[in-house]
Amino acid sequence: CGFHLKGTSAFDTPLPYHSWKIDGGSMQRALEVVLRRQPDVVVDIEQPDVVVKVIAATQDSTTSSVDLSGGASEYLLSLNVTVQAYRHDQPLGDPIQVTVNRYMDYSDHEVLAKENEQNMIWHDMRTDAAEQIVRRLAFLPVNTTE
Amino acid sequence: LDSDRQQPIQIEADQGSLDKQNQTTVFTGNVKMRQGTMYMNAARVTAHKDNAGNQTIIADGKPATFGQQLEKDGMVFGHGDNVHYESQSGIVTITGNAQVNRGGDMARGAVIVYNTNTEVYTVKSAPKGRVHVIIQPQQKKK
Amino acid sequence: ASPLSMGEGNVCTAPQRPKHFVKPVQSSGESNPGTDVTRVVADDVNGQSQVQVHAKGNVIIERNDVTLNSDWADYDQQSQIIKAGDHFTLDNGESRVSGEHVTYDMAKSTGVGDAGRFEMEKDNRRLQGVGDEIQMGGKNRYRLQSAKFNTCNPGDDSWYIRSGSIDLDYDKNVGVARNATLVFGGVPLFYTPWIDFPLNGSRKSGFLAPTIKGGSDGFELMTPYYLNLAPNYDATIRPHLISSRGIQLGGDFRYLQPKYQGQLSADWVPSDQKSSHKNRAEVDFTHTQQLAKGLSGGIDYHQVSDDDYRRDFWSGDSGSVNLNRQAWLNYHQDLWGGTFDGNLMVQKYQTLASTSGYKDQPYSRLPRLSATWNRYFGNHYAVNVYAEATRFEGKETGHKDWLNKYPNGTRLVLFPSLTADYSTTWGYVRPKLSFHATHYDMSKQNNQDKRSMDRAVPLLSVDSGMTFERLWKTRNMHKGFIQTLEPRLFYTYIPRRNQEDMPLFDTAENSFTYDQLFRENRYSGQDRINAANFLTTALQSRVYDSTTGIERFAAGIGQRFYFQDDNVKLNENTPKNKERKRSDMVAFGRAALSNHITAESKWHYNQDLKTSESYNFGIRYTPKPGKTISVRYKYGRDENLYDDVYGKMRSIDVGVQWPVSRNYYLVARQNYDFAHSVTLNQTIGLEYQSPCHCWSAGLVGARYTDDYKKRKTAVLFQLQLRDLTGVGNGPLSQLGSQIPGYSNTYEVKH
Repeated sequence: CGFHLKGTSAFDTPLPYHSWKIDGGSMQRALEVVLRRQPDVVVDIEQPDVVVKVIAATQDSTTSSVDLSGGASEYLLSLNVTVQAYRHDQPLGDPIQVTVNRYMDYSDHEVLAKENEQNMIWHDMRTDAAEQIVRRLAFLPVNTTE
Repeated sequence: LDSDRQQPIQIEADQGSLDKQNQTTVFTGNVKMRQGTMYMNAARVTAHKDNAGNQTIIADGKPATFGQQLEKDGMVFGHGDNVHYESQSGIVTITGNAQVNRGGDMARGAVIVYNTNTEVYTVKSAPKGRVHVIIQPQQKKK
Repeated sequence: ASPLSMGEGNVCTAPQRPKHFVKPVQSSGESNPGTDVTRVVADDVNGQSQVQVHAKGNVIIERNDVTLNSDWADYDQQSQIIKAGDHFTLDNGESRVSGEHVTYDMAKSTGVGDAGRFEMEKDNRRLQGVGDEIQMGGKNRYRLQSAKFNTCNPGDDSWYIRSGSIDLDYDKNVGVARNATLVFGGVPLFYTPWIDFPLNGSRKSGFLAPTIKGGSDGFELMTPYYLNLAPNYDATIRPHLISSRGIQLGGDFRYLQPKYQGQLSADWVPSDQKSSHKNRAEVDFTHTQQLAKGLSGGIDYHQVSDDDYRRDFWSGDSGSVNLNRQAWLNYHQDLWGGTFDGNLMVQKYQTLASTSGYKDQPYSRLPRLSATWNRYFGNHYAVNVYAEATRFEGKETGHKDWLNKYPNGTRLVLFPSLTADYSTTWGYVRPKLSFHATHYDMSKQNNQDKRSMDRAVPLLSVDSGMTFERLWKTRNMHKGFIQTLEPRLFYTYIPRRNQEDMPLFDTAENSFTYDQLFRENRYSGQDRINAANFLTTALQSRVYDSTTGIERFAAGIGQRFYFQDDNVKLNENTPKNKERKRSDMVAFGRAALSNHITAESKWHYNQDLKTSESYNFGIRYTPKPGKTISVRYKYGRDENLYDDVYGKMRSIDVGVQWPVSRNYYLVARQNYDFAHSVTLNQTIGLEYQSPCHCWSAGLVGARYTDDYKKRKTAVLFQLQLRDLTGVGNGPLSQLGSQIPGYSNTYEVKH
């Protein structure tokens, strides 16, 4: 049905640069973990080919549904990340903006446990956002000017 | 300058004629008149002196020009189609695209009446014309 | 004298729209004669050289960037003061002033004009006004005496503010009006002895929109004042008259410094006729600070005086009954080739009881000290060590008059883990080995005496997956989509440890979602580690744009297979879960069909009961700001209905903001639960934006529940004046923000 192993077909786009540095703030760990999984990539050296800087990473949670007594029963968690790549201190390509949303069931009975669960969900959302950002880094323009 | 009045008047012109009877001289053709620091160039100049010694000078030209060194500082000069100067009153009347410049200031209009002693001037505009005046910033006097 | 009315009536639709409020000056057309040189053009001029000039007959005077037109003008060259009259217009390069007579000092650019009209247009913000007298103090400071002014386009005086005097300071960008009356459509609406307002957009706006509300608490009027204290401090005073309760005084104080920032808000109701509580109040304080390199801290403190406060003083968002009271310190630094993150935190929730008195007060953490050390070894290996020491106190549940207390205690946790990652472009295997050690010291509580317990358990998990891709080409070759197919296997082995009699500080079972399939422990927190010998199988697929990599679609379905029963329970009385060979099945789907349409859905199939546990489907269409429709259908077999009652819930939530005509916006929301045929919340509103974009008004009605079987209604009217009143912080936008994709009518450009 036309599926090939990723990386073995013509239309595959590997990362165009070899060495990277992440200036990621709250997204630092997620971006580093996902970037280190890419084939032959070096992360965190002094003179990288590309620096990936997180310009904005905002986390919002709004009440998305309520129970019969009007209390919040579900929160919509949205993570909005904007990243800009730089090469020789010049912006490389357009800023990359990714939004990740998750719904989380909430109950006032286990507020501490829900706090822990919410932190786990934010962690998974950061990983999802990092995967989308790294995939889009593959489409950065290649300029070989040294 | 006041001392100009005591200076002799030199006049150059293509022709000159003297009407002794009413003491009027008329010069025509590229007339250049000097008296001390005061000068006047015009196509035609009529100078008249009454027995009390007051002079009346009328100059016509396209335009007639004149000028004089001022007591204080700077020069006053101007031009116009017709310039009429009465030494007794010290008033210069310029008619026909008249302009007077004085130490950077400038006034331009249809008719300018300028009193060389009091430096009071009025500028009239032609029926549809306008008057233009330029005033330099004040140098602090005292 | 020129009429003091603001304009020739409300005509601002082209083409009769007047271009200017003050007729522009006529210039001499000559080039600039030089700095500080004055040019006078008139019908007649007389004067004395270097002393004074008197011009008559449509006089034009120009000097630097000041241009004055008048019938006549006297210019005293010594003092450089011009007197002009019978009618003048003066343009100083920033603003235009016209009137009958003016005295203007060319050197200092100061002057006074009478029966004046004033117009200022600066970085697309306008201010126009008339005044008996207009004082000009330099280019950026003006005072209009007994003035009328507004911020509308020329010719539009649908509203204006009549005031004894207004001072405009375009250096500090603040305008101050004294004994001012807002006249709207000719009707004096609102008086204030003193009000200041911003002259540019950078600061929070001053004169916040007055809001009128009706509803369960009778008539309410809110008239906020904004105080522009300093470039990085500001304050708002919010007097709020509630007819059935009395006066509520509110205030916000904000501060913004390079190293620290925060906001303190407080509301106080001295005596509330409608409730037994006296001196009711709410305090909200948030503060964050960068203390030193790598060291930051903060406070998040919310408190109310009594359990019913939030129900009685509706703040629009139902929110949680647990109010966070917390202070923390974070520390970050590189350490031993990795990164070290420390956190010291104290937290004590204020828990509000429901009207039935039911209360579930969680443990307080006084304090919690936690640290994480993380280091990579090449790209394949990483070590992570998590350590935590916490003192838990004060958990109480039940009816608020006879709460049963839970034992206090301290807990130490040490949780090192080693992860390895072997990846190629098409696949990965990620084993993870970790070891969870916990020590409890419990103090005496009613029948349980002092005791301490330990638990140590190893955890092993292996995450693996493959990625297949294929290209969908559209007609034009270069544009296309790539679809991935990602099978994924996640195995976990955790030996069983008896934990039933261990305390429950911050642990509960996570809700069963697709992401939960790939977590080793089904419990959150540190108090329960489930026994595990299971394999999660899942299939995921994504579609992304082949030229940009932007993800357009993602979906996944997964299930777990248990090789061994997990009988670790929260505590003795949780029902023992049945022997299960297979877990429930969970699936999700997310799509950004175009830049305007997004959809998401989730399905949770209960394997035991052979029925759906829960599912939802939502779609949102937002073609442009001001136009959005969202529909979400949600079903839950066993939802928490209220207090500790559970049951079925099937609800639909529709939100709409749509222009119904050139200037009218419909705002509507309906959140209805079919299972109990009850409306959870309902909003219907109409927002009108004046054709001249100078003001907008919103009338919104809302019905919502704030307690079981209790409905509350509120009807809200809010007036917003362009560039003057707060946008986005009024109750109208709080209401609007509950509609996904809502945008305030001011962000909508026609």
